[in-house]
Amino acid sequence: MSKVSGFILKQSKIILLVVIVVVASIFANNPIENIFTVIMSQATFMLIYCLGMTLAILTGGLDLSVGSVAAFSSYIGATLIIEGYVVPGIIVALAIGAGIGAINGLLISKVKLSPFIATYGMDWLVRGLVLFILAGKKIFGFSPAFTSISKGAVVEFTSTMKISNPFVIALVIFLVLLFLMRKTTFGRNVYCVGLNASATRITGVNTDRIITIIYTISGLLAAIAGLLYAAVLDCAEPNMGTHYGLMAIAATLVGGTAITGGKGGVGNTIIGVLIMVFLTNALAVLGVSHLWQEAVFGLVIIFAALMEKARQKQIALLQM
Amino acid sequence: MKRIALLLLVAVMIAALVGCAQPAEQPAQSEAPAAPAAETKAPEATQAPAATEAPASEEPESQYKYPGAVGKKATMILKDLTNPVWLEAREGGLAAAEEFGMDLEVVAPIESNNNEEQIALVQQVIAQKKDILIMCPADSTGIVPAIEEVNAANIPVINLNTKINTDSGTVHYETFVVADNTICGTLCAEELVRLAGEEGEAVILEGPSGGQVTIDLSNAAQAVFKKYPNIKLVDIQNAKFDRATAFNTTQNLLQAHPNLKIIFSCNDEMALGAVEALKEAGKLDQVVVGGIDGNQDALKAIKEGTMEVTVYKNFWLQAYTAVEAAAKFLDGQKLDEKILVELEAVTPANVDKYLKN
Repeated sequence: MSKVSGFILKQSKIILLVVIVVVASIFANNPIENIFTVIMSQATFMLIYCLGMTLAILTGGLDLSVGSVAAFSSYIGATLIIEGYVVPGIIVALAIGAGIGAINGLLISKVKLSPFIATYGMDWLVRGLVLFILAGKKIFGFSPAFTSISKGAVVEFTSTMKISNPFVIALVIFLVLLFLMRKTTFGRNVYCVGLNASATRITGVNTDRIITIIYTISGLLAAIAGLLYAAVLDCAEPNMGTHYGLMAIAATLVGGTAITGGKGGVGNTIIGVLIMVFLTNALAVLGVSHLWQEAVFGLVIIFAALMEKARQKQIALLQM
Repeated sequence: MKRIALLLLVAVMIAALVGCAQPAEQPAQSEAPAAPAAETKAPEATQAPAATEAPASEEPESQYKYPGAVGKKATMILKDLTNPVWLEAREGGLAAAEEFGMDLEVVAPIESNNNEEQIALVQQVIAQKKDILIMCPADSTGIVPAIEEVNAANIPVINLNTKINTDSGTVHYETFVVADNTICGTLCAEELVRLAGEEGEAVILEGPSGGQVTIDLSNAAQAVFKKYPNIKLVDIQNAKFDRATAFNTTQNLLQAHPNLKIIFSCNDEMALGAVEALKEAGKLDQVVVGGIDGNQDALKAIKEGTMEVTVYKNFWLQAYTAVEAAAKFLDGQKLDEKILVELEAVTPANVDKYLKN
């Protein structure tokens, strides 16, 4: 393979992202504002629950319950927040998210259920809990104390171009996870579990604890995402997040994390999320008929996955 | 440990199947849903809050307006039970059922507007041998095969809110109870045009494709916009009747059409999502937003001035009328082909009339 095509393949995702952003910028009224809006208001929320999915996938698993956990935890929290108990409500939501995540982790590690079955079943169960037991009414009209979490900004250049609070939250979460994954023994072990769980266990690593912690984090992140959405929309709705699971898987895989586990990471997922949100943005800005949008979206995802496969193949070839 | 867990799972599933197979005869008068139903993961799970009426044996039949309907069993299938308008519809339906001595079960798919789930719910109605079905389809054409089965089982159908597509000639219903969507769309669009000074760029936010409601509303709005030479319809986007999707879509639309003046939304939830996006972009003053439905959140927004107009479709009354039509039919009365439920545009001028505090 020639040097140029090799380079292109290696940076395929970044190039794809740049192309999409450039296209969107050409047609957007205010490209800088557009980029800010997409990153600050769309990508940040999505990144948080996608990072949870990435962690699960790294262990060779999957967390299909992110959507319903986001909805359930933020909904329960909202019942308190609407009465004025903002901080307790947030804490309750986070606790619920982490709790459900821990149950997932235990089901997968101790009870040895497959991650797909465990989290898929949990998704139904939790969604059912929200809709049935809580009679599913939307909760709206939160106090500014709560909504400012999502609507506020740390730095404001103009009213639309700002470093939003959710961005800072997502950044902090990302940096913490990056450090955890790349610089600690725990992180290294997570990758090992993904590559070969039984071998890792034999070397004395407590794989059960690792898996449980990972899914707990995933549940926690889902709760955070749910709360942020509730704050920005000023509404907690029980049917939020029905598509989060699949979107998160897509973002993770497009970003370059392998579905089998052990390869990739949180950094890859940022690229994956950016590709997906900017793609939606570009299609809308271009005025592509919404009837075509989903088809185009799917095509690009498949294309990105193919590029990723080719890249992996090339790396494998070079290593021979 | 694994085996015990497996056994537990199987036991839960069996319990779920048994629970779902039983008719929803629950004497509970309150709206509180039955907790055990939530444990199921059966995809065809009916909505547990099925408050039913005590059988007519407790009251002499002459007390009821439509004696032929007393004690009869009905199911009302809605599009979902999370959007406040459908919760209102449920209350209206149950109120009517109580008044006419009918035994009404109100169900909806778990995933909003899911056609497959609705088909499964329809099949349950047939299996449970209900006396009458009140149907509000998420997909007017997609539901047709299920309605064919209902017709074949000789269970009468009252069509509510969204028309079942009868073009194929293979299905029929006894009457169609509707707050006419074309009128709704026209009222809302006209008001938006008026507020925009009859000029400017407009976009339409639609619901999931295939729904007759969305089609009628969108067409009505488009017809109105066409009438005014200085109004330009620049885009139509699908925001799935969902607030969060509309939020993101509107942000993107503002980049494509920075001079936007009108947003016509086929339901209130999307309108509210658009309002949030406009707030963030600082363009609330520039754009007039109109929704349809008349839900409480939207009414609040109209009172605050962040949203300009909605059309109150009186879902309570729609469902009530549909159940009453069912009662009339079971009592042997003839029904008109269409029953129109009256509606009104809600603006800051008359919003107090509709706000519940």
